[in-house]
Amino acid sequence: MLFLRPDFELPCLGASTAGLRSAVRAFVADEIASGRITPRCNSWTESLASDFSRRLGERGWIGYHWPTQYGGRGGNAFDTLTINEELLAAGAPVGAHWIAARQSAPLLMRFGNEAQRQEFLPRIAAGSTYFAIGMSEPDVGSDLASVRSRAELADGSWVLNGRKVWTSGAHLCHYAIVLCRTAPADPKARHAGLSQLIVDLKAPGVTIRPIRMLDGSHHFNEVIFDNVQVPSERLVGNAGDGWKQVSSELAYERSGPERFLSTMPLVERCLQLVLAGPAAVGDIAAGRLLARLITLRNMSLGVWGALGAGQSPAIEAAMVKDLGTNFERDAIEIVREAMTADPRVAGDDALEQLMADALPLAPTYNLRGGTNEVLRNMIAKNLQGK
Amino acid sequence: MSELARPLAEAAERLFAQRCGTDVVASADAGTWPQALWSELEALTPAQLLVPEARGGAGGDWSDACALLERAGEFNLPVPVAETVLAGWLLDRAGLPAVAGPLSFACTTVDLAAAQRQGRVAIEARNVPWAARSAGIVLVGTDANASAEAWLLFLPNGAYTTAPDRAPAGDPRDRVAVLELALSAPGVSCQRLQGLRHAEVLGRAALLRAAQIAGACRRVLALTLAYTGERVQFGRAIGQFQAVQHQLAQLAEETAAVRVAVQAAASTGDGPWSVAAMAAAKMRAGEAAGLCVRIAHQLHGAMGVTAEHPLHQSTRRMLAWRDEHGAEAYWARELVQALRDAGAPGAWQAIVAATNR
Repeated sequence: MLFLRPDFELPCLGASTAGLRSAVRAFVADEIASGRITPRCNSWTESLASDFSRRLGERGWIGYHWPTQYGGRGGNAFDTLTINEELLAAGAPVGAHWIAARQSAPLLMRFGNEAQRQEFLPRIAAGSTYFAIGMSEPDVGSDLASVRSRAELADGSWVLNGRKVWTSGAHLCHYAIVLCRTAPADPKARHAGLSQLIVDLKAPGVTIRPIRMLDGSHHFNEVIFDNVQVPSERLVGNAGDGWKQVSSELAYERSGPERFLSTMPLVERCLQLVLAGPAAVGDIAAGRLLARLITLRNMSLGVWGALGAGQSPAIEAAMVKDLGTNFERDAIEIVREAMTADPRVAGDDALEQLMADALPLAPTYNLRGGTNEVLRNMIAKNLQGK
Repeated sequence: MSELARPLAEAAERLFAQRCGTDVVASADAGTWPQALWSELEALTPAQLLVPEARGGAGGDWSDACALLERAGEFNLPVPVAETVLAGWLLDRAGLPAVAGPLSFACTTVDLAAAQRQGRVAIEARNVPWAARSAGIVLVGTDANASAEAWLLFLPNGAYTTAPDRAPAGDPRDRVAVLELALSAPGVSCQRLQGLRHAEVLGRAALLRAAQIAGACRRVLALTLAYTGERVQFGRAIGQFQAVQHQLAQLAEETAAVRVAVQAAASTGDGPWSVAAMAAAKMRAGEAAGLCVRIAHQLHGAMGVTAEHPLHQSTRRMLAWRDEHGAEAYWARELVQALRDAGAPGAWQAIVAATNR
């Protein structure tokens, strides 16, 4: 485990990303000031704005570190981290392109063929083409190997049947990468016979229905595939390699700064009020949040550095996600209490609005992208050498 | 890690592995000073670790010091290594000659600037590590008229009286008294620490405790993994139960978090963010220490609360270290104040600046 190795060294960014960071900060401030965007918590799942995604794409701020032939700007992984952190911390509406940029593109970069890379990556980088994740099913959540959606090869195309749920943004996305069985389930080799297909969500036979959240908002969907024809060249990697690919995809899904910055707009507003006021007993609660945040950001840099160096820090990412999502949940509780107990924080309209948005969705933090229980299982098995 | 300091840390680790077994710690906890261990450690010149090469030191930095203390924490080293490192650093910063032997370190609220003006000092201090055993104590105090400044008082052994006391750790934490001492007495020195703020010195002391906690967390993680892999109940090792596995995972997460927090703070250069980074490290280490102790004991069951089992050698020290040089609430408050003092309008920009280092 990277963090426990004696030779582990934390990356030191110094001033290397300062210019890019100020540029993103200034851009977001301008977008907010002009009323084009409204900051909120969970902006990477809740705020889908294709016009904003395109404006980011025009600046090269999606996939900044990808190779230039695929729409990148030749930066490094820390440049992309810098852009993403600033957008999340400000609560900017990045939800439209988020999943495509975070995990679909790296998946295609690693396992896709050249034609797929050329077809999709530049459009993702432009902020104009969005992807959904087709993993969970009605009977398949944490136990992903038991997916039932299946595809059969007939006359040069895959015929896909099945049902996916919790498909974030499917109603606005152009494609979904669907995990399905392409060979019958073998109880002795549960992870064999799975494949991933790039499915056009406008294709005949695809039905998308909203699944509303408890606060009435819509980002989840149910997606039904009824004899959907998927051209054979839309297979990602090799048939049967789906499990290996999904595992690598989950490392991207779990390693990003959105796993501790979902409630940052709320925390930031609260701390602005605390810092502007005189020293008071409420500083203790605020300082505890700050110390945890500082440590999470350092751990996140460690994971990102390993990812950028071509390693696969899946266990480390799971640790940061468990700690990070617990922080997000606790942050809401601590800010909520400060809003009645700390006179410096009480009665602030902006804070109350952020809280009203964030509170009902707090139960999702420890669920999305793998429950904390599943993450702890993974970590423990790794520690035990299993 | 610097060129001269790396061999020191590696030699220290070999030494601890060979000479600081649980029997040595148990005997020290029962009151026996581990002279053999100390002599071998002293040969590695811990008091010179943070002294620049130009003045005959090892030229190490705070990352080197934390690497050493992390190892010391892992082995429950029952000698004042953190104190000797700090005292050696401060004696050098004060331009005073090196002092041989184990050294103690403590912070005091006594106005040392006033003491210097009067030429006399009176001290009453509690929880001074190994005061009776040390060749001397470096006390760091303040100036009532300039509260940010740090002042040093060096008291050689013999200039103070001690009453033995022990922290929950089992390590000596003595009461020290100086009724009326002329600062002109032999070996005594009282002076301002040029260019060092009081908060910075306290932060460095807290950082070394956090490093010790990081090492101790590693030890209890290793002990707990081993025990839950051996102990069989209901026909299988208890480590195969998910309820146990989830706690092991948390133990590892906390251990990782402290390690990262300490390393980050140690490599943050002197500047506006160094106290903030050290505050975050000690706060996070204290939080982790509490949780790790709770989990390790819960998973060791009744076996872990016996005198015979070595778990308490680590856990009692962790509980003592989390309070020494400022517990979580203290550093949480200092962290907010550090941001306020730096004029940070919000948290995020400050966090980025502090962690980009």
